[in-house]
Amino acid sequence: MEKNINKVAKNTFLYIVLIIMVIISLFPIFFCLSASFRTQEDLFSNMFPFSTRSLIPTEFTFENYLIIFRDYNFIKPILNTLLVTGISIFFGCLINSVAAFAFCCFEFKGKKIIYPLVLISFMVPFEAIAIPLYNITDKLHMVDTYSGMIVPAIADGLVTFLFIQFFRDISPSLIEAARVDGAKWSVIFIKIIMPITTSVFITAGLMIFMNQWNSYLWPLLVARSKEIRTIQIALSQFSGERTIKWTYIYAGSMISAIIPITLFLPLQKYFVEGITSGSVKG
Amino acid sequence: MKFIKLTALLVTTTLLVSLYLTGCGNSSSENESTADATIDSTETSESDANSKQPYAGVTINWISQGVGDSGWEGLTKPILEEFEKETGIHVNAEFYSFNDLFEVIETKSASGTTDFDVMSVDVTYVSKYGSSGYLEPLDSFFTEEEKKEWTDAAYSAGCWEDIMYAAPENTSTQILWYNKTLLDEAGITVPENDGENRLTYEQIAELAKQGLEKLDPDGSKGLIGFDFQQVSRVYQMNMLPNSMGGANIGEDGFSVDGVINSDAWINSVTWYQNLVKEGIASQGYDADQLPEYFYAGKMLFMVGGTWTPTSMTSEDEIGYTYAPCFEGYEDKAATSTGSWYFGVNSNSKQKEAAAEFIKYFTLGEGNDMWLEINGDMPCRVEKLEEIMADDSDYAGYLKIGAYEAQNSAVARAVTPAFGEYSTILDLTWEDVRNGADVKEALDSAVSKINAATAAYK
Amino acid sequence: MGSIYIKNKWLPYLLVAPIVILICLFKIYPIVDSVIQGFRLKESWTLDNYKMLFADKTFWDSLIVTLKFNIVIIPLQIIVSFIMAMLANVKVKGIETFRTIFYLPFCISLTVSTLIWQTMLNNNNGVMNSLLNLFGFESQGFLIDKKWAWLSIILIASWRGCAYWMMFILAGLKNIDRALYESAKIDGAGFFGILFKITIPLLKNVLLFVFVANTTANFLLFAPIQIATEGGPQGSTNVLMYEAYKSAFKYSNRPRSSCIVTILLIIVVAVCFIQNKFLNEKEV
Repeated sequence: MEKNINKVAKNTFLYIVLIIMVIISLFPIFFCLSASFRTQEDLFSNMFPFSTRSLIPTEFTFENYLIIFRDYNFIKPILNTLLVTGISIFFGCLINSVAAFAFCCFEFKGKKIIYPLVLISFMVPFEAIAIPLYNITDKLHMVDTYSGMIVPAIADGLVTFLFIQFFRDISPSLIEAARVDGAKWSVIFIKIIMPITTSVFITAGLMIFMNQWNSYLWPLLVARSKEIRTIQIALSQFSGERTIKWTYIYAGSMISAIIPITLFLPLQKYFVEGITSGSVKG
Repeated sequence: MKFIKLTALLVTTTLLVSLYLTGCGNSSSENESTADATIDSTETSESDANSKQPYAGVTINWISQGVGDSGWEGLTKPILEEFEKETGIHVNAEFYSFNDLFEVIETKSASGTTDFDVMSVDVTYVSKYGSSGYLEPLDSFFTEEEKKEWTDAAYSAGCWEDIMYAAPENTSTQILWYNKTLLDEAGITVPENDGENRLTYEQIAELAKQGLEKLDPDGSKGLIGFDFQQVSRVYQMNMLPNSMGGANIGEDGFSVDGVINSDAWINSVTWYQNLVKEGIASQGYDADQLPEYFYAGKMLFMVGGTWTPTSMTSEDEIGYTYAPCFEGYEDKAATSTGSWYFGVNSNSKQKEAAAEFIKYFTLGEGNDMWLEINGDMPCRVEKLEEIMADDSDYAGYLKIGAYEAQNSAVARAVTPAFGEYSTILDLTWEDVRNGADVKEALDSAVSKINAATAAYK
Repeated sequence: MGSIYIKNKWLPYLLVAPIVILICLFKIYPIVDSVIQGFRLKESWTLDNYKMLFADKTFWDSLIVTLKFNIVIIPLQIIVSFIMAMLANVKVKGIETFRTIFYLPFCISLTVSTLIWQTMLNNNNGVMNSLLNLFGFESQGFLIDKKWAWLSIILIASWRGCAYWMMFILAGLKNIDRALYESAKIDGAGFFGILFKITIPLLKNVLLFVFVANTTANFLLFAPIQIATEGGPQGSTNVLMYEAYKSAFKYSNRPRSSCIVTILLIIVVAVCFIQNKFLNEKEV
């Protein structure tokens, strides 16, 4: 009996903490959502001092969403970004994971040089290398192409590092056993490593997805034609020199957030199911 | 072995896919190459086709700001079409948002790319881009007569060390706007005045204070009394020290000591700080947001540009008058000015055609069309006089604007170090707004600007 | 599987070839180019850029701000996201929903989340100040007061950042066999016993990743600063990365920017090296 009361108290406390965190996580998003259903005048005339009117639109309007899709053709940048992120995820996961596999399982000359290079490659801000990067992309004739946005992004040292750190947790006996059975390396990678590290592949995929989805300065520079511009650039067009369409920005941001959210949801179960027991050292 | 094959296959696919994507996404660079090809063919086979179109088939790339149908992208479309009809030059325009344009120009120019020919330049960056070699000198493309068509101030702001680098498209001026609906409600009328006999800043502050006491005594409505459209930006805030006779920068285009910490600066900045302290001017809104409060009917007075009426979101009636001056400095009235210029990329391969386009847009028919569409203040003497003389066609505030452009406009600091100057000084304005000691803040700005510009010496 | 190294002549080279080529082309070459720029002035080799930088008080002030900012934000984000991951890993009813909600802030871009928080933290009776007033405290200038601004930036960055870092830690937690917890419980280990004896040791590799990635991300962070404070009030949020950004894009002073970035790179490498020593005894 006492044990049960203890458990109820513990669970109540847990739920209170969880709910507080939910409020902190959701409140700003709710503000953004509410602002996206307002007119600009409504937004600014009720913003301060803070009251319920700052959160609930006086007049509910779909105008902002309508305008960004109808007048600003918002669907095109969304498709562009999906294309860019889709290809980046595929190649990004593939080449970074096989490289991580090589780092973890093989002894080879030059490893001591290549490994630090991989690490340093993500320690420098993009802004610092934008100019030489543009120069080389221009020389490779990749400016104003989708590949200009994709190719420089697929080899990401941070993603390789992520794979390395997770692969290191895999129990060596598992691979030894497979080798004793005479399995080829390709089989070990595809049949043994990949299934037990699904959650890592998904994490890496999400990482690449969010990087590309939110990337701004680089697509701005390489995607010169409007036809191939990405979603964050499309959002920036609402800030003019003299006036900023704040409500369009909020509406566009909601659209831009909904797509990753819908992607997170179905992937949830892989996180939960995760890994077959016993395959990881410990 | 199978795995090796797989990897080899992977590398090949990566390469193939990237090649494919390079090919199909490369729409505008293909345009360029076809354009190059047509130039050659123009010389040989089409030379007799149309003598009126000396540049038939040429494509030039123009980078500018203002995305969207209501921005420059939409507004300049008819001008570009008309230009193509007349000269045969097709203008391929790329529009970026205002804040991004500088980064784009910087990256492209610093990497030495040839992928654009004409750039829109904010007036303050002309000397920087000119002295860094990003802009092609334009003196050989414009005759002396043509240069005289602009006001002196507008022409010389496009020059650095006596070389012309950019041509002015239009300018901007400052007007005092007020929310008539709110002032009526408070029983306040703005006194009659004119350019010779302006209201003072002190008077406006007093009116704003009275208005706030009547309309929003406990601050629960969040009304703002009197503020600046581009708060904490050198562009507009420097009007204040200018109105007390303070200069923007030393004669050499670099020195700031004794200039931005002179008495005129200290006194005018202190006046502004007090306005904030008294709760008449605002704190905590940046220049992107603050004007929205005037547009939404939450501010009584605002110094702002000629685009204010079209930006209003509230139904409130607004009034306008001449920009104020400081009491005791009536002869020093100053307004901020300057806007967009056009320059040629020094790496461009089609400089002639680019200059042709600039001429059309800044002096020719294109400029007439632009002024009509955009309703901005012209830089051309002829057009300014037209506005002043015509009694019917122009809105009253444009007349005030034209008057200010010719009488009180003070050019911004002309210096290749404008980036450093404005970045540091913008923050200083924001700091004094938030209560920093005025003298200390200005002195610290001087030492920061000096340190940041050390590389120029 | 760090212990089994297989010798094979050329397979490993083939496997790392794609990333080595791409990284050298698109990362290492531009980095080297940037570092070189720091030693170039007016077409000749020089140390003057560093001399000028070291003579500039702004640089030293900015360095102090950067260190102060990171000493707080890095441990804070890691601890908070660790707690969030632990919470999202408990088995209670409806935990899937909570977990999804915890991820949501990361779906809002940094720019937009900064804009929203800027409004919420506004000194003119924004949400935060209304809450303070409700509990009888005075309004604060969260973004315009020297003593608050840098903390506000940390809040803005962490609101979104913690959701991100949680994702990795959670993925790591999922890899731990639950049977291990059970057997520890049977042995009589308490919550902290399990945490320090089982969870953290088994998460070592994942935590190293989070430390390194988080350190890098925070030392290079400047977007919320650019939008909300522009480095002010009175330089209190002017981190080195923002100074480097301004030098490159506002001042067109690439040498100065390159010097700052090189110094930042050295700091980040040093910090990550120390973290590596703490969490990890052997190299890959």
